[in-house]
Amino acid sequence: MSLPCKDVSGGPPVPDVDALMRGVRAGVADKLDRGVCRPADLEELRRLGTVERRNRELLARCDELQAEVRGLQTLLGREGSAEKPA
Amino acid sequence: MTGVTLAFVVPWFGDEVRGGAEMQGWETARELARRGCRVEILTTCSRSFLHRWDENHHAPGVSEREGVTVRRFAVDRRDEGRFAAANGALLSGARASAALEEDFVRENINSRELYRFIGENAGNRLFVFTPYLYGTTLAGAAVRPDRSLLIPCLHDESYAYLGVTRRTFLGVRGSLFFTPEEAAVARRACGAEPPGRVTGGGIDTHLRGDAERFRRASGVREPYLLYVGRLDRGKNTHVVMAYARERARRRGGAERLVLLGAGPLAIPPEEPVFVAAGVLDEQGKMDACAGALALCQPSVNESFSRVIMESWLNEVPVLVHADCAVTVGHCRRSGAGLWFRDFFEFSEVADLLAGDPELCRRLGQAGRRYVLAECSWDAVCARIVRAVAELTGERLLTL
Repeated sequence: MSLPCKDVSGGPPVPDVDALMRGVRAGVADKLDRGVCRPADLEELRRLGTVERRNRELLARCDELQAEVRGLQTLLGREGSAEKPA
Repeated sequence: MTGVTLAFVVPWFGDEVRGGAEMQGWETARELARRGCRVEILTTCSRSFLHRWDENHHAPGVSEREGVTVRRFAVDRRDEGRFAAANGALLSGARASAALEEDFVRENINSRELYRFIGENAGNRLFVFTPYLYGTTLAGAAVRPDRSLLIPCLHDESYAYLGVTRRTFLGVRGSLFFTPEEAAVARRACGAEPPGRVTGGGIDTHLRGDAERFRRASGVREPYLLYVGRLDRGKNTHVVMAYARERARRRGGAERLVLLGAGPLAIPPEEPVFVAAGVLDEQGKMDACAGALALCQPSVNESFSRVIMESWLNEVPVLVHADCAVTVGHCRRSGAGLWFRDFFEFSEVADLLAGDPELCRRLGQAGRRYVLAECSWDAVCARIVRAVAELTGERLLTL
C-alpha cells in the first residue's frame, strides 16, 4: 500500500497516521461485518484476562503462604528440640 | 553576567532511584550544568520511593555528582497510617476534603530542614520542583512560590484535581511541561490557565541499538513486539500481555512479546508467546528496541514516555493506547506511531506492521527525525533557558 503522508512546513513529509488509523478501523469494521471478529470476543477476552490474573495472584499467594508455613515449621522444630532434655 | 542558580528539588536522589520523573529531573539538571548553567540538587536523606520516607538512610550534607552540587536534608517523622488512609481515599475517588488533603500533604515525604533552606536561600536561586505529587513539592513550593517553578510530570489522575495541586500550579512562577497534552491536563485540573511553557523532555540521542546483539543474547529469532517498563497493572502491562496471548491463540505464528523490566506482574514461563528479558542496562534496552517490530506502550498514565523516544531513536514505530492523550499526541506530531482502543485494533495494527516492512521503516524514520528535533538535550535546554527567562525574568546562563 502507498503510505499516506502530510506535508509539514520546512521538513520532509510526515506519515499521516490518522489516515492509517482510518484504514485500521475500516479493517476492523470489515472483519466484524464478515463475522471474523465478534464483539462478544472482547468481553470474553476481558473475562479470561481477569480469571487468569486472579489465578496467578492466588498461586503466588499460595507460594508465599507455603514459604511462611515452612519458616514457622523450622522455627517450631528448633524450639521443640531446645525444649527436649539433653 | 552572573546567572541565577536553578535548584532542582526532588524527594529522592541516588543510584537506587530509577523512577522516570526522578531520572528526567536529574538528567535535565546535569545537561543544563554541562551547558554552563548554575545548577544544584536539593533532596532528602530518604533512600528511595520503595523505602521508608521518614528514615534518614543518607547522611545530611553537601556532596557532588558529575560536577553538580547535591544538598541532602533530613526527613521529618510521619504518620504512615494516616497517609495511607488519605491516599487510599483519594485513589478510590473520594471527595477530597480539606482535612483529607491536609493529611495527604502533612504525612507525605517532608523535610523542615529543606524548607528552611529554601526560605533562607531564595535570593539568588530559583527552585524547580519535580514531580508534582509529593510533599517536597506541595509543601516546598509553598515556601517561596515567587521563586519556584515546576516540572510537574502530571497525569490525568485523582491527585491532579486536589485543591493543593491547583494552588501549587497557580501559585508558582510557572510550569515546564513535557507536552501540550500535559499542559492541557493542568488547565483542566486547575479550571484556569496555569503559567507555563512546553519545553519537552530530553534523552541521550547518541545511543543506538544493535538488533543482532539482542537476538544473540536473548535467543529470540522470531519477530517480536517489545514492552519496556514496570510490569504493573497500573502501566497496563496485563492488557498488552492478554492481547499478545490472544493473537498467538488465533494466529498460531504471530509474533512474540518481549518484556523488559521488573514488577509485581508475573510473566507465565509456560507460555512461549512471552519472553521475560528482565532488567537490562541502557545499551541492552536499545539493542532490544532496535530489533523490535514495534514498541508497545499501553500505559495511559504518561506525561512524556522515554521508551517511546528510545524506540524512535532506533527507527522502530510504536503502538500506544488510544486513551493516553500524551502518547497519541506524540504519534500524531511525529507521524511515527499508531494506537489501539481494543484487541481488534491492536491486532489489526500488528497485522499492518508485520505485513509491511516498508511502512515500518518509514514510520521509524519519521520517529527518529522527531526525537532528534524535539528531544535532543541541546533543543530542550535551549527551550528551558528561554522559558525561565520569560516566566521569571531571570537569566540562567553565566556566559
